[in-house]
Amino acid sequence: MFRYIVRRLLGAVVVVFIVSLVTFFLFAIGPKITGSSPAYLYVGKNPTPELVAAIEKSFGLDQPLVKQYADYMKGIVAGRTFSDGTPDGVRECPAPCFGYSFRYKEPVWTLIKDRFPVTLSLAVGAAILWLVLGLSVGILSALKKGTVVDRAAMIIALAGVSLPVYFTGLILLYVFVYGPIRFLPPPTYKPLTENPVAWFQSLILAWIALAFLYAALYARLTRANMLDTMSEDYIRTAVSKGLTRRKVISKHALRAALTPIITIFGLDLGALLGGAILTEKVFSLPGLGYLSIDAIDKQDLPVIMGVTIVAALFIVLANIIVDVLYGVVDPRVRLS
Amino acid sequence: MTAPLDTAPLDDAPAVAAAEPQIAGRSLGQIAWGRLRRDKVALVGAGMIIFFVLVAIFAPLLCAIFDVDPETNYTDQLDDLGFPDGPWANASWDHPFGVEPGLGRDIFARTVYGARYSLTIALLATVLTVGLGVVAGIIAGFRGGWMDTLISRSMDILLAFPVLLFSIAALVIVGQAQWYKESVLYQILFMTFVIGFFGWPYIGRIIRGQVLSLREKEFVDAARSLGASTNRILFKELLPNLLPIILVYSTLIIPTNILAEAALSFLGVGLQPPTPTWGQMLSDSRASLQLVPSYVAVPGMAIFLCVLAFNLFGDGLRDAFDPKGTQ
Repeated sequence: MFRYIVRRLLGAVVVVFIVSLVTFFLFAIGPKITGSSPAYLYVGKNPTPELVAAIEKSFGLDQPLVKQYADYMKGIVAGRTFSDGTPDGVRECPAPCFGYSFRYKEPVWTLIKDRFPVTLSLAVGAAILWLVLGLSVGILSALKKGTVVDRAAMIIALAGVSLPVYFTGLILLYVFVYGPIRFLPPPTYKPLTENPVAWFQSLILAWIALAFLYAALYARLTRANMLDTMSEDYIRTAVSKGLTRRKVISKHALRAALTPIITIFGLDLGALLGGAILTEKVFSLPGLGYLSIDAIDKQDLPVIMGVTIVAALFIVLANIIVDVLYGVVDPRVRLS
Repeated sequence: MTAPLDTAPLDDAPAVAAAEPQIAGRSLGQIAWGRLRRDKVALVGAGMIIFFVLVAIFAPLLCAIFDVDPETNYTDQLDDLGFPDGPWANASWDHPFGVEPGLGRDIFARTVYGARYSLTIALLATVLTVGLGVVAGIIAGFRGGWMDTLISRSMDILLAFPVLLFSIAALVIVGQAQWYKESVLYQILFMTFVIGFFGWPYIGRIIRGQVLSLREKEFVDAARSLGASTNRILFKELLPNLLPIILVYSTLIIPTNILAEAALSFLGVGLQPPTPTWGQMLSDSRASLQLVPSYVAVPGMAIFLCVLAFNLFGDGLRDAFDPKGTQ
């Protein structure tokens, strides 16, 4: 078990390394093709070519790409100091240094740390909602297969997976915020520790929009898994043994039907923690997703790099956690 | 109650005997087609798909009937503040869905033309995804060895990519170039590439798994012992067995791609204005959500119904090809 985890973690490091490599070169070569430079963000509009060259030199942007990448990687472990040559221009970037945003005038890690609680609030709240909703509807649908309840639930679920989250979001915003009934104030995010009520009000619609999509997916999946499991031989054995229906379902069917959901849930949550771009955009939530599209818009390479690496890290870690958990929950799986 | 039970087998016996020649030999394709024809929900989906395809093909004709154009500014339909001069975005017979606030372009014309771009990109991207996935999956599964390791590891890495973030970044970088801004064709091709490329590991994995089990089957051994070439085994023996899976997954990848195109357009990195896309219309409509809600509803419903159509049909197709399903 221990060796398995160590091996998987090493594999994860390789994957994140390659993701960072691809991102770095995409953004290092990309601006060269289009003729812009990260230095422009630091010096402002219409600088002299000499000033741009000086900035590029002091931030190491004139170095070969391989050297720049090596410096970047070293910064994550050991921290870096950026300087534009003037006494006021020294920028400290302590480890883990994912670069320094010339636009925000802050280390990228600070920005990520500041924005992460928003994304975490969004993802965890929505996840609780969609797990409860998706699993219960899916199980109910499977047990009442073919009835009106099942059909209605599956029609709603199919609509749910076909609705883009930003359309659901706009409908919710119209119905509850901007439409004839003003049920909620326009969403402006406040941290939970500062103002729990405002925090809840700013997130509730985003939770519903995001959870509706995922709940629909999970309900369909749970139903399919349940029906598959219920037709297995060991369920028939359990029934013919004389066990009550309740016992057969709770002791035998649910466990087998729900274990695959753990995998998918872990991966979905991991992907969301790297930033729910569309949801954060629609509800103006200043999380990692919002930070990243804002950074892409402004060509703020260090921020994009940082968020991409962190997002990839979440996905890879979620993968490992899910596989380890799966081994614990499902006795048929032995990790080696 | 016993009488009918006793006589029933006697009555049925001659009928079964007479029908016997017809029972033999129905291919999976025929069975699936038979099931699909009886699946009303899937047929509704198919009907909706045909409707959207026809709308996309005949967009210029539909616009000509109402005498509207997607890029003309109908400013006479707007009030002094730039909002449509009436409820429902000032919908009328001249402008069935009204006009957009600000520029006053016809919403109907833009939605109808939007179908063209949305479907074109989604279908092309699906061809790319499925093509790459099938080729990679077959090579990985059939060849095995270091090729399998290489392809499988590449799939693992691609699956760890924050895809949406990466697509946006790639589109923004290319979007700076003048030649890209000026050519709708280049924009369509690049969107197709970005949407199609990241999807192939999903189908690639499924195909690989299938090939791994298929290549151990007797009919492959038989073909090989008869001296069939690798190419013949791949294309004549394996591929026909993979077709149902390819078909089902293609139908289910299309709606995902429609959503991806709409999402990228919604974020402003899709096809550039004035080319109309549903995602871009939805993004534009946000600003006037309070005053012109119907402008949000039209492109939103277009995306929803189009995606729903493919999902309905894809679900039906999957059930029809399911070997465990009842005939």
